[in-house]
Amino acid sequence: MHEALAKANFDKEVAALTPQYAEQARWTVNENTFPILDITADHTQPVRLRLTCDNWNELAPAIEILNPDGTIWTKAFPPGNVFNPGGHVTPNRPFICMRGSRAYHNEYHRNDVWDTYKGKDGMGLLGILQQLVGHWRKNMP
Amino acid sequence: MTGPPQALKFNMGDEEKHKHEGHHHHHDDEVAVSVITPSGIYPDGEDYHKAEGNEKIKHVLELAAKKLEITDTKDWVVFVKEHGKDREVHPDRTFHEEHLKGIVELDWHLREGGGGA
Repeated sequence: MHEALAKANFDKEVAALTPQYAEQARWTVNENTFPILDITADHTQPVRLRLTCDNWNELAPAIEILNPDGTIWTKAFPPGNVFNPGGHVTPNRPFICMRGSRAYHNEYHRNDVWDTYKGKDGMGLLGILQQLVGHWRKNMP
Repeated sequence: MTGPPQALKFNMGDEEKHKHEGHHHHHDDEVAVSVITPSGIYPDGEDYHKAEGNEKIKHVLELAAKKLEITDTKDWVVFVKEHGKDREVHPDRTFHEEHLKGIVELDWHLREGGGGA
């Protein structure tokens, strides 16, 4: 995908992430300049999610699970494997094991292709973040 | 000429009282709703949508979907923040049935899913 087109797709979606939206979602926006969308979700155990959105939306975003200071999250994860501490492809690298994550589609579940979800309502960048933050908040103490 | 105006005044007083009571009752039953979705915030992030407490949550979600041009909400879920935790609410219930009063901020999105979910 041409970078300009990916940037246009990114900018269009990120435009909806207004200060009011971030406040109600209880997100701190650390960066929202193409190709990076980086937020910290407020919680008793806040988590930072950094999405690299090159080739959006031809590719799902690559998602890093971080501490608020930007270091890799190494503490306990929520039950279930959506927030995964690391698998056979990247043993020591946490990854998101959910549709909408590049690692899920390209490394761990190659048979569940991103094209199935691309462009669907709720599977944009903010939608993916809402799902992940919602899962974190529901399942983390 | 004194009769009708007095009657009118009397009636107006009753109406005003009724209106006031109704108005008061109306406020008690009213909820101010804002919805965040993957496509933006409803109604606009500056204000709240006023809904009746006995109104089904899904009615407001339908308005949000229409305004934000969301067509496929199959498998979507709704959460509210409550005592620091997120609680799932049922769109087919009313705000009051879900014990929602005052300002209600809904988080509406696709349920997470995939190999790990």
